[in-house]
Amino acid sequence: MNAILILLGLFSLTLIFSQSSFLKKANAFSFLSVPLLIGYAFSDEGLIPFLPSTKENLMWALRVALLWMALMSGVRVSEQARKWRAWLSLVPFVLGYLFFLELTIIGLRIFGASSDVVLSWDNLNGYLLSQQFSMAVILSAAIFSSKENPFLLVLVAGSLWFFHEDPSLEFRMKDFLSPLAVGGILALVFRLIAGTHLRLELASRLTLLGLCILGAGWALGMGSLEVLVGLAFGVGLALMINKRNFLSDPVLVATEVPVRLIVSFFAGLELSLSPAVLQVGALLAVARMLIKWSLLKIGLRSAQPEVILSQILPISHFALPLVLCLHLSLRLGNASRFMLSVFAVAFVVNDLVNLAVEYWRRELKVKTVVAQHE
Amino acid sequence: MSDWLTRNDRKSVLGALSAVVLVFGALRLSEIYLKHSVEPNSLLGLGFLLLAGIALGRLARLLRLPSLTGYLLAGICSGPSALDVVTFTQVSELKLVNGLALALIAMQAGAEFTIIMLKRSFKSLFHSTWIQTVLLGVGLSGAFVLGHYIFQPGLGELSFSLLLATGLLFAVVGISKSPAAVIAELSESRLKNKLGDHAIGIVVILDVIVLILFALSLAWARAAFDPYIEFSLVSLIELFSELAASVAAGTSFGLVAIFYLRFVDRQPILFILAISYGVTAICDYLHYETLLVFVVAGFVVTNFSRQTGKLLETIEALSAVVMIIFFATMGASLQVSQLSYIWDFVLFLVLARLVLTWLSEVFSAQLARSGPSLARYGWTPFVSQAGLSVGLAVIIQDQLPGVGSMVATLAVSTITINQIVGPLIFKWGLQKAEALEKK
Repeated sequence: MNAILILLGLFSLTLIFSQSSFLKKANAFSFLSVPLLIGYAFSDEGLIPFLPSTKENLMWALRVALLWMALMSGVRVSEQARKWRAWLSLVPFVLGYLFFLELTIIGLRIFGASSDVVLSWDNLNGYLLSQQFSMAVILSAAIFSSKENPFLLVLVAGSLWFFHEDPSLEFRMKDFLSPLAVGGILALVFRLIAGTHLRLELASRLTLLGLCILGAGWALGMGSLEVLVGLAFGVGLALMINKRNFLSDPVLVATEVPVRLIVSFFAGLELSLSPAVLQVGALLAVARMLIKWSLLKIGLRSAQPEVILSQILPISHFALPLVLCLHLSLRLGNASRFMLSVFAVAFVVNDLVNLAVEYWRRELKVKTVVAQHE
Repeated sequence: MSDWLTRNDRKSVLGALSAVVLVFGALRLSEIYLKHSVEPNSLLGLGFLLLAGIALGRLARLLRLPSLTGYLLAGICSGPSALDVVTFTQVSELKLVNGLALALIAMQAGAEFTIIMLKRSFKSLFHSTWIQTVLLGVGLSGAFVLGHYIFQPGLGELSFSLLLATGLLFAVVGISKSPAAVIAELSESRLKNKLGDHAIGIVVILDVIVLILFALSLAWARAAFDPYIEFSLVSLIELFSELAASVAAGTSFGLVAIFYLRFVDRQPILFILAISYGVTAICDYLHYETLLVFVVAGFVVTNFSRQTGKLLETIEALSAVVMIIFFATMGASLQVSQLSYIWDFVLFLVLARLVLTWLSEVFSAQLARSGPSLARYGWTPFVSQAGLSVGLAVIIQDQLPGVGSMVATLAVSTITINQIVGPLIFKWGLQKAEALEKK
């Protein structure tokens, strides 16, 4: 019962904060850093650690939330993937990313030398090479990501593939294909129950909720990734129903911000910060910003400031659930916690920089308006 | 093609049923062919119950049965008695949702209970309450004793006084009704008539009376079975003080709800969720009567403010999902297999309760000079039994070693049948009463 009350308290807080006028107008600042840091205050290293039983009691909500976010991302990606322009804009993105991946690997080796996790990475042999490379790919892809785009998903799928080579991880080919099949089944089930209604009704939303819970339970029962089930569910849904009605449904859209904030809070609970994590995370965030800025100067000169602020500078909403889900479901221990912590630091630094950019832009706007009046 | 079986309805039901079959098939196939067993967990159980509830609820509506009959069947089919997708462990883990459901049901019952209605139907409520309490209490105790001699259900050699004490306990469980079933059926049918008002009033009042009677009869039964325990009224005094405190707490929470809905009026669903779970937690801690607290809270909102509309709207928005889970979980927890051993005695008790309920409503309608709708169909809402009755049966099992488990089994078995047939009878009665009142 305490866990439920904590969850409701969190929901109330997130809803109150999400009503702030600044946040509603903010494009680049995602606000997710705040619950992330609050979550850290309740982590094992924090000021008021949560009891393990409380954390365990809240896990069901997190699993459903992870699947829900992946589902929304899946539908959105399918919507974007239809546009050839989206694919075209990926060319500079991919080039920048390859450079960023190289920087990530170098950064992990140099600045993470004091961390046990990274030290063990130097003892490369056989399949471990691919496993570590795969982790570097996921971390760099998550940090480098912008609004949901197909590129991130391709990277995730590709890098997960490497895991099946390591028997100790118990993540094999069927572990990769089964969640995708489950996601497809859930989409088909939704289609069978809800039909192809032009608008989502209460019954359809109820069915969707039931399927999200079922999908999270199925993934948990298989020891698999909720985000993979959710993504496949989302892509499957996009193929079977009207995507635009789905994405513009006011009830579904209204759930997104609170769910994101809750997931960030849970991610904060899992963090473990060390000097190595802080160094690597901060440097990767700065490197990301510089590469993105260079790409904007070279390739996307015509981009509108709103697009830059809302689409390019913030890290994808899907990146945090992805890294968190990998940590919770693959049980890689310190390695995945390290990955999550580095990502979280990069995320917070990126958010702070974006907040500064946002303020600076508004100040500039106000000054321009004042100057025009004068 | 008959008018009640349109093409779209059939298609929707067929789609929903095939969806459930698809999920169940995929779960089983992955175990058989892929050797990839899916560990049962409460999320999986909850998701499946929700899905099966939606499908069978639609089927029930298509067949002109109450939706909650469909939800119950969904639970029975998914539970350990049939497909075994949901285990008893998962059912107990889902009790969290039951707390919310009971809170919503109680609040809705209280909100429907206006002072005007109370004044208007005072006579019928008064007579119905005391006649049902006396007739069902005495009659069911007698039926239990008589049935023991006829069917020999395995209670062992008991003296007459012990048998009477046990029978009285069973009878008290038999008096309790199901506010959940009544509220759910009234919400679904959206019919507002004398029978509906009468039903809400009685189920709420009787639930409070049952608590007092149960405390008394349990104290007597324990003293009868255990010579070291003396029959004392201390527990009754404690119960009264708890009930008084529950009324006070309910009033306070009602006032808080009025304040929030009047002055804050944002995110009412979240507010109701928070207050339901929060108050339930406080009630558990302080041993207050949760159901009474929420009934009083709803009553205060409805009778001392203009926020009833907002409150009921919010409860209805939440109820859509909560009711499916509540009734499907209840269905899954029913131990249908037990019926096969003692079916004759159980059937006898179910029939006895049905006849006694009918008789008490006929008498009370004559005494109160109620209209023809109550005289003919007044008994129909009181067949269903649910949460409180099961809770009392569990207490009997815990408090009376030996015979307790058999009495609990008998009680749960009768509740199972009453819970399945009760909503059907009430739906029929409600429609008939509506037609009669319109005439």
